[in-house]
Amino acid sequence: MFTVRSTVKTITAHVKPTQQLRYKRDKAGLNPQLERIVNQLSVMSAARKQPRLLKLCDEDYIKHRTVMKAWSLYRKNKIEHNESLLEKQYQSMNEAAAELQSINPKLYEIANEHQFGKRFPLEIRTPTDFPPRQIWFYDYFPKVDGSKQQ
Amino acid sequence: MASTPVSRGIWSNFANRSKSLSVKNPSLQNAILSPNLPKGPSTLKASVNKLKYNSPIGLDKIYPLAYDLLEKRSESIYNEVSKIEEKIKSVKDQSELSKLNKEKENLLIKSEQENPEVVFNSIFQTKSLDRSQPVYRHYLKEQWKSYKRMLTMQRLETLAIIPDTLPTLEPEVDVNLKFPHNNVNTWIEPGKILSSNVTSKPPAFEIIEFKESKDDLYTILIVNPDTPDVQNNTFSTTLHWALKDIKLSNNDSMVDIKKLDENKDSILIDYLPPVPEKNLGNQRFAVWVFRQDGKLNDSITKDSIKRTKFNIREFVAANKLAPIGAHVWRSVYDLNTDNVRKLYGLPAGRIFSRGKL
Amino acid sequence: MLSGFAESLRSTVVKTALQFRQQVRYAHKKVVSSKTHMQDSPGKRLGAKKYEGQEVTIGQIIYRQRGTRWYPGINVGIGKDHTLFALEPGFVKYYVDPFHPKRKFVGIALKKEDTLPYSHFDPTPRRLGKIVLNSFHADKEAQYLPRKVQLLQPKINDSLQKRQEVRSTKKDSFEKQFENYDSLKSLSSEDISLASDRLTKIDGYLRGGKSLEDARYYTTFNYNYDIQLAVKRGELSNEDCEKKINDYSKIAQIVDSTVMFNAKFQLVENLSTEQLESLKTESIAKIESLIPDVTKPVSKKLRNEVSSILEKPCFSLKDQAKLTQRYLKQTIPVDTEAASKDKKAFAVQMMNLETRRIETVYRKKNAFL
Repeated sequence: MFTVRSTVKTITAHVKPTQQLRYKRDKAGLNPQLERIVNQLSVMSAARKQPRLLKLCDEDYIKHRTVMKAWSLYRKNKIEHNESLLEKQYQSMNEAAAELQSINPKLYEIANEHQFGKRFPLEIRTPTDFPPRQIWFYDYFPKVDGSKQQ
Repeated sequence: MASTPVSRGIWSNFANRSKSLSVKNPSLQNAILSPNLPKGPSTLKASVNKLKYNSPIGLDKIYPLAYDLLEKRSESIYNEVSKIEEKIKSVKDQSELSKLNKEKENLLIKSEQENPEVVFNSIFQTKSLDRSQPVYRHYLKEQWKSYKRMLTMQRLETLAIIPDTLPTLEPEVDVNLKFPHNNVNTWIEPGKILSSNVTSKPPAFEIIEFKESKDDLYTILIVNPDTPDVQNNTFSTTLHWALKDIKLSNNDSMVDIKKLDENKDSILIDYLPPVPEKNLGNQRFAVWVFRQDGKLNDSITKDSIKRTKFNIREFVAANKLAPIGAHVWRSVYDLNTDNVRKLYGLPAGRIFSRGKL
Repeated sequence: MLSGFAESLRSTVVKTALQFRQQVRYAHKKVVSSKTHMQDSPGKRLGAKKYEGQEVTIGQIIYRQRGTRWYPGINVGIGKDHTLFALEPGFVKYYVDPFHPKRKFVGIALKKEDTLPYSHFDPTPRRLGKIVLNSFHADKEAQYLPRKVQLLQPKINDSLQKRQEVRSTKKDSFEKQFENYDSLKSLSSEDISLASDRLTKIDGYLRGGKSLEDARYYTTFNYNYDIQLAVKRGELSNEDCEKKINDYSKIAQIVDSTVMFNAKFQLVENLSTEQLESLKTESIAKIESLIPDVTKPVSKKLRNEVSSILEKPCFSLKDQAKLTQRYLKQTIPVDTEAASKDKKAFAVQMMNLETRRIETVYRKKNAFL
């Protein structure tokens, strides 16, 4: 979990205690200076730990609103454009299939035949717009039927 | 820092657009129409704050682009509007016409909704908006729906104005009420308990329409459903004020003494102030606003309506009135009630037993 | 001997150690048994005290319960221990309400044949339950005031009297000022009282935030309304009423055409809106000519002259503040170079708003107003 204590611990892992300790504190795991900071931070309300809200004058608020609106409109247009492209793709596929059916029904039947057992493997990567960070899993071996090993 | 100024396209062209769609104050307008703040933040008052203030980084670069994008979209919508306008000229079917008009209004709202000047006005200048413009009506309606309408309906329901006077209400207009004859010049929150001194003379209303309206006719009734009916051991309704055929438009929405003085025929029944009797508790005074189809029937006169045991449901059904808004205040017997009775020449109020029997 | 002692010590230590290791368990039985019986308390006599259709009077208990097994419906109240009781005399009905599908209600119907809940869109049947008091009891009840009101009454009377006094002194002062205006001086004493009354009321409206036009309108309206009410009461005939209203409108016309109020609610000569407009532009032009450069210090005489111009009735309080800010700045902008040459200049510590630090600045004496 993300807490004040854990964050301070990770941030200040390298800091050495300046004060001599009488006994080892295993409960907190922090030196007294840091412990004090943690205490003070934990007393503070969550709202005060947030970054401050932008204080805009009225004119700039309107400008900010305008920019946000334009950005959402721009994104909406882009998404709509992509969707229309997909729609067109689907339409033309349909048309091609219909044409094939009219030219040669037998070929159409073959093209649309259900192929039992021929499916996308479960391990296939979901198609995305961009390539993944790790392009290829070199150590990967697919599961062999009947083998209990991974 | 020199940066590209915002484009001066359709939103700076007032040949076909109302002047009210721009910001009145020239320095503010200049600030909104330029990418940065040429004279500093003029809406901040203290000079310390002005000096301290910094605009968000990069806003001056991106704002002209955003303005341009939205303005271009608005321009294309205005082209659609002009097409519809041409269609309207040729169409004669009434239902088709109203449909086209509705479509046109929606497009007009859409075209101006994101105009920074319009947005500024409808956020910061709400008291002086030109209600003949569909955009401003749209913004006012949104504002009304977000609070005032809910508040009014809550008061009407918890105080049982609905269903004690009329069965239900689908509010379409914002009804404001005040008593301007005295020195207190404030709008009254629905359900407030008012002293008899405040209510001793007729109130004024503001009826804000959110659809386009020009010289529409309205009826206003004030009724008290808590008048004691001792004989039948129950309560009856009394009519306190009735106004009819009141002409209102989008930008002319006040119903006050000045307006009633000009056309005295619109006062159907004179104002009777609330004079609750002692030990009867709070009495509710419901203000109902109705839209009329046309002028009210001439047979309805002062003499044909009885003030006491008034049946508001029958009256509304007989005159085909559509309830579109309501308001409510409450009155109770106080130290000044007897004086109001004397002022109006009413008989001294009865005194009821204190507890329930 | 010593070795014998060591041997015995060793054997005892081993023995005791062995003793601890070889603990013996004896047969035993728990003496006290845990109590699981005798935990009952007397019955609390909960449940329905009145059943469906039974007649009740005000205050009778209908149902005793822990928590709200049943909710109070129409004409039923609920106590602090959730006891349901009757608020009206009538007939007990147990019912469900479609608006609260998870609740069961107990209500009281005023008539035996009624079913609850009452129809949602019809007016709710209500009972008055009060009688009109006569003679002795009525007088006694009329005298009664709640303790709070009774304690407040002297205060109320006091403030009413004070308000009346303020109004009458204001009225007197207006009447005295009528001497300055010919058209008001010539009025009869009755009319003077009416006129000063009118001005007092207009003054009140203006202080309440109404415009001058509105204030005048509502003053006339209130007078006419009161006269019409007098006719309704039968104290005045219709002709008298008309005459009075006419007379008053004449007086009002004279008063309004003669005097008006300035921004500080002082009586001044009346000016039409056009006149006010022209006076405003004229005065601003004059101020402009008097103070052409706002960055230069102004003499005391000039300052007084400008502020006397600003007091003209064409300026509202807002205008006055704006123009004072513009032409009579509290401090003239800092010009350190010019001041440092002046021998009479003195050092002042001032806040520099840009750096947000206190700085020492040299200023001439007349740089402050």
